[in-house]
Amino acid sequence: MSVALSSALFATATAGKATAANSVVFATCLVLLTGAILLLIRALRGPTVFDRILAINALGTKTVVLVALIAFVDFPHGNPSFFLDTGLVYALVNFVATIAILKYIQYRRLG
Amino acid sequence: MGVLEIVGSLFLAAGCVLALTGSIGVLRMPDFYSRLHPAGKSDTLAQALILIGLALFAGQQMLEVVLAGRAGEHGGAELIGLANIMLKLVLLSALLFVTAPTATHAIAKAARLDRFTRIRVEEDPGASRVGDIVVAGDVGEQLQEEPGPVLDVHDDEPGADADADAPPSSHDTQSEDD
Repeated sequence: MSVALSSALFATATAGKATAANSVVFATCLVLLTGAILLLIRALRGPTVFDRILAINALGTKTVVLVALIAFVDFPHGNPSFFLDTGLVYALVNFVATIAILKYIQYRRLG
Repeated sequence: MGVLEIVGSLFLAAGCVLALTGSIGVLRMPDFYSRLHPAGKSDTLAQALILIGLALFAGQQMLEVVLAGRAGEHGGAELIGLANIMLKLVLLSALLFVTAPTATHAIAKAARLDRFTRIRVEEDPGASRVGDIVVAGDVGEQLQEEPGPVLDVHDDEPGADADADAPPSSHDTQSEDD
């Protein structure tokens, strides 16, 4: 999935009209994808369930930043506003989901 | 590249370094409680740096619109759109700045209360070690000397009451003398 996303980003960034700022944003996207892959390895390998929750929470934060970065890959032409709305909603959902999973693990019910 | 774009690129680079080191730390740290540290702190600062860098990119675009003298009929809407983008970026950064440490704290507390990851007090680096510090004139020796005087005071309770009664009477006599 990340490979497909990287190729799509690269096609957008190299389809002419790409300024230096767009290249910086694209490089930042690639670095964040690398960090997300490392966190995913920890989430798959984690000995306890709290390691997995911690890794997925950090991965969610990285995803919010990645959505905001993708909005700026072709900045002066596109409209980043809608991407930022998506990022706001994802940040809220990520926080609530983390708290809900922790509560379920601790009390074995969500009531 | 404008000045704000260069500053924003520096912000993005710093955020990249923090995000990557935080991810490597989460992957490489030895146990769960040390993994909390890179995941909780570096992520919070990395997202703030990257989002503020993007807001500076939008600020550069806004600056170009103003400097080109295009802030007329059509430029006004463009300026409002760019201000909207910057406001959303700052709002997103503030939201993550509140929720990310809260989630990390909740994870740490849940792991602390869980019976499978609980660590013994002797091995707990977060437990208080104040009682182990030896100082001159230790409190423990003074407490061992205490019982005798405490019992004596308890026996002399009527005398203590008499002493407590004495000062008001002296005050009364002074007021009468005045």
